[in-house]
Formats: sequence, C-alpha cells, structure tokens
Amino acid sequence: MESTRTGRSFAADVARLAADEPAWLRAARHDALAAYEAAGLPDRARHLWRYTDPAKLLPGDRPLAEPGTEFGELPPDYHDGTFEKVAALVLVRDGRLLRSALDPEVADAGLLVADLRAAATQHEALVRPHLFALAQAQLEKFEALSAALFTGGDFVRVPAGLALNRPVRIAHRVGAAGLLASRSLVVVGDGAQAEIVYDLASADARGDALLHAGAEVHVGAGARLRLVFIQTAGSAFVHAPVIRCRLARDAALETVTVALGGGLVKSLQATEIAGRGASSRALGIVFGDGRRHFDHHTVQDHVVGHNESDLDYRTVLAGRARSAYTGNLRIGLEGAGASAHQRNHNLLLSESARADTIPELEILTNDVACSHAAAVGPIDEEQVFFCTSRGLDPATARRVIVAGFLEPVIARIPGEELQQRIRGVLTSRLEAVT
Amino acid sequence: MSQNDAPLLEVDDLRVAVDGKEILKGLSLTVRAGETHAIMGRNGSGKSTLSATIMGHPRYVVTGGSVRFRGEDLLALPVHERARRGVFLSFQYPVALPGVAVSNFLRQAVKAVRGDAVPAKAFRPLVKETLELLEIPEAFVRRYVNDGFSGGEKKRLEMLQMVLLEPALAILDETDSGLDIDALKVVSAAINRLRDAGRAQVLITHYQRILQYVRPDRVHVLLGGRIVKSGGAELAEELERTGYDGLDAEAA
Repeated sequence: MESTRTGRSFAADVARLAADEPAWLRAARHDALAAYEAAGLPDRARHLWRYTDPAKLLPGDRPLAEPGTEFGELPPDYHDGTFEKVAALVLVRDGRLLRSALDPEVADAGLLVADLRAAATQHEALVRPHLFALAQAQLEKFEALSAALFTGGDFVRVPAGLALNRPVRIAHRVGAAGLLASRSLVVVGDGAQAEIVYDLASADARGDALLHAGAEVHVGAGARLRLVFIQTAGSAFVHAPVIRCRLARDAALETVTVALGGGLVKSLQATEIAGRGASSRALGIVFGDGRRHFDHHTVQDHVVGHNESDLDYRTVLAGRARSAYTGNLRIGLEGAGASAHQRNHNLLLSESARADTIPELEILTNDVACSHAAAVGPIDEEQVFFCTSRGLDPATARRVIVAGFLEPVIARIPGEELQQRIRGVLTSRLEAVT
Repeated sequence: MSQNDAPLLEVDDLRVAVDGKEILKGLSLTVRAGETHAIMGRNGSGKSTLSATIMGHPRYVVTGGSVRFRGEDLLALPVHERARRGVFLSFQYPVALPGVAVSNFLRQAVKAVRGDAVPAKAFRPLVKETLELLEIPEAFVRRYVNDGFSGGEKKRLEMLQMVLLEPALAILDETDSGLDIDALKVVSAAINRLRDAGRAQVLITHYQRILQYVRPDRVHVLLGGRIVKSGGAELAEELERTGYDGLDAEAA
C-alpha cells in the first residue's frame, strides 16, 4: 500500500502522549493518526505540491524528538522582568511550553495563556469546542500528523470584552534534532482586542529539526486580533505550519508573517471569513538566500459576503533561493458584497533565484469586488540610479530599496525593539548578498 | 590647466545616443563656479539627455566628446562618485522609494556625500530649517520617498535634498514645470540659497518664468542636440517674445 511507504508507525508515540489526556483528545489524536496513515503522499502533479516535494516533509527516520527543558538565552528585546511592554511572556521549547508569565492585572481580567495539553484537562470547557474545529473534516496529510503527535503547544484565550494594550509574546526555540509537532489554539472572545506575537528561532545556526505546527485561531464577533508569526530559524530547519483562522461577524484579523529563516518552509494559512462586517488582512514577507526554499499557500475564504479581505505578500530572494506562492481567493455562493484583494510581489536579487506566483480566484457569486496582482522581477534600476545619484554606492542603494520593499510589513509588528531586531536580521542578511 | 582654475563643468563636443539614436550631436558648454546657467529648448531637443548623461544614467551612451568636472573626466566615474564629487541632478520625474522614509533617505544621502555621518543632534535642526525654507510640514519626513507624492511635493523633496547636499554643481531638469506660483517661489529660494562663488547651477527649462526669480548669468538655446545660441539673461526674454522658430535656421 502507498501509505505504508510514507513512514513508520507513530502508534506508540500517540498512545504515550494520550495516556494522561481526556478521552475526547485521545480519540482525536487516534483519528488524526489514522488519517495520516491512510493518506498517500500528496500528488506532485497537483498544483499545491508542484514546487515542493512532499517527501521532504515526511519524518523519514527522524524520531519524535523529546522537547528540551531549557529555553536558552532570550533576545535582549524580550524581558526586563516587568510587564510594561508585554501582557504575557511565554517560552516554548521544541513545541512544549516551558514557562508563562502573565501580568497579574490581565490574568485577573481573564487572560489565559497555558500549555495546550494541560489546558485540555484543566480548561476543557474552553478548549474542547475549539480544538480541531477549524481543521477540515478531512485533514491534510501533514496537518493530521501534527494533530496526532503534538507534544505541546499553547492555548491563548482572551475573554470577551477584554482589550489588551500590550502584546502576548510567545518565544519558541527549536533545538532538538528530529521530528517536532506543536499546536497553538487562540480564542479571542467577542469584542476583545489582542496582539499575539509568535517568535520562532532555532538554538543554533543550523536548526536541524522538522517542525509540523498546527494553529487554530478563532476571532469572535467584533473582536480585533493582530497575529504575528516570525520565523528566523537556521538553514537546515524544515517548517510546515498549517494555520487556520475563522472570523465571526464584525471581527478584524491582521496577520503578519515574517519568514526569514528555515531551509524549507511549506506553509498553509487559511482564513475563513464567516461573518458579515468582518475584515481580514494578511501581510507577509519572505527573505531567502542560499538555497532556502519557501512555499506559501494562502486561502481567503469568504463563506458569507459583506466583508473584506486583503492580502499582501512580499518576497525577496538572493543566491539560489526559491519561492512559490499560491493565493486562493474564494467567494462562496452566499458571498455577495464581499471585497477581496491579493498582491504578491517578488524581488529577485540574483539570476539564480526563482519565484513562482499563482493567484487562484474562485468566485461563485456576482456583486463582489476582487483584485489580484502578482509580479516577479529584479530591483528597478531607475530606483538604483536615483539612490546612487544621491551618493549611495550601488550595494547600499540595493539594500535601501530592498529594506524599503519589506518595511511596510515590518512596521506592522508590535514593539519598536522587536521591529529593530527584525530589521537588524534583514540588514545583516542583505549585507551578505549585496 | 590645474584643477583649481579649471571650469566647474566643461562639456566638449558631446555626442550621446539613446537606444541607438543619437540625441546630442556635439554639444559644448562651459560652466564656471559662481555662475547660474539656463538651458532652454523645445521638447525633444536633448535637454534631459544632457542632464541624465552628466549624472551617468546607464541608458545614455556617450559616443563621443567629453565631460570634465573640475578638470576630472566625469564620464569615467560611477554615478555615486559623481554625486560625492558634488554633482546633483534634480529629476524631472523622481522615482518613488516605497518603504524608505524621507528622513532615513536624507541621512543616508548626506552621510554618503559628506563622507561621514552627521550627528543626529546637528542633522535634525538642519533638516528643520530647510523644511521651513521650503515650506514643507515636518510630518513630510516620515513619509516614504516620493510615494504617493503630488508633482509639487516631489519637486519640493528634490529641493530639500539639493539644499542638504550642498552640491557644487546642481542641474535642475525642468524643476519648474507644473508648479504653481507659490511652489515656484519656494523652488527659486532653494536655488538662490545655493548661489555663491564656489557653486554653479544649470537650470533646464521650457519657460522663462522661473528666470524671473533666478536670474541666470548665461542662457543657452538647445536645438537638435546642439547649443545653437548663447547669451545673457536678455536672451531668455527674447525667446519669450520670438519663440524658437527663428533659431531653426541657425540649427540647420
């Protein structure tokens, strides 16, 4: 059978993980494992896998890694022991939550940040209705793997009506070589407001690990959420996140994806715009050098109408780096009055870099406003001429132009110090390639 | 001739082609420190080609002649070295740099041209004073360079850069076109501020209008890729009355 060739059995791992979990979660893990095992490898002829070999996401002979117990050093922009800049600080190692510190004031107001597995028991009433609710009835093969095997993760719940004025920051360090599986569940109650920053890095420059990460994000009626995903891991890191978001009526979600690391990234971010008056904005930047490979797939799914979505992904590639972007824009039969826009621009800094951009529009009703724009090309030489005419040498001119191209997305990251760290990472990477 | 008493700019029998078509056909021009020149001419006469070539735009191919700046072969220098020597071009259509804040760009440019960073303490008051001169609101510097700017705002930003970079030779390519009278006065104030014994300006223009505010020492008429007539400020007034038609015979 095809499926037996896609990997060994993880039954013992699932049994071990599920042993002290509630029966409903145990059943969900077993179902997910069965789905993973039953599904063959995705067909490379299908467009979503045309650019990335799914075999590279298979665990192969990597064991399910035991998460480390030490986080390591925090970036200096993180913690000063106070809650002046953060509402909560969470440290996650290899997918397992090590420590969370909450401002007592917001904790009293009902903010909950906890280990997802522990929360499944302790806060069952809050977790159970949401966990796996957004994962499709038929899980994607690798999504099923992370659902079956997640060794840890985080649960962030912002109660209805609570407006956080500082971000929740979740620092995630990967260090264990092997297969990692993690899961995030975010539930933002009706009328609540929050910013959550996931900041994923590897403990060393290589970052040998394969991380299958699942996230489900529920944004309640009238709630506002900004969700930031930063990934600056090493060049051997393989990252396969599946992020599913759902927006209720009048909800507003802004996602900011910053993919600067990893050797292979295959990501799906799907947003279901399920309420009228809802608004989804997805911003993303990708910077690849060396032989890094990025494959981003986004879905803006307007289940109902009279709402809006906007997406802007920007890619910069140097060396022999590679990117594929596929943007689905769906407006269902009930989607009249939806406004949906999508842009994907790719800057190539070398002759050997390559980017593919594939917009996909699936519009089943009339009376909608849709647009998409895609571009792949080198830096505009007129911009370089303009900068050099002001005395900048050509290499500096290129760096200024590229940094500017990415800046509008970086400017959406909460916190000046975190923005500066990201700019610093970009600058040093750019200096190496120009 | 030593570098010290060489003319600031010496263009000799310059021939330039764009996409294989010769636009400048043996243009000669000498500009000395302390002088302001105006170059006038119809569309397509080669005015922008001259300014782009002096700055070093890669699309403009020099097929003959020379351009010397303080005696040095300017054409042998890359664009950024020309800027660092003190050559400035105010673009007719400056490009946008989305995501690059004006303040950041100005700091980079000043640092590049002056050779070292100006301390923030000294830089901010300098920018502030220049903004006032050019009647630009301070919030302007937080915007992205030319991104979504009106025509007038773009020209003001060009002037802001020019005044901060203090070029020895400023070439203004139709900086006056499309400006209302208030903006024109502001642009003129920026140019006049740079006029001193050590600097020169070359105004490329269609119209005599700006020359009422910036009185040129020399006026040249460019026609068919050559300078066909030169004179003092009175030549501009004469052109205003007679137009270029009478000069066609001289060009032929």
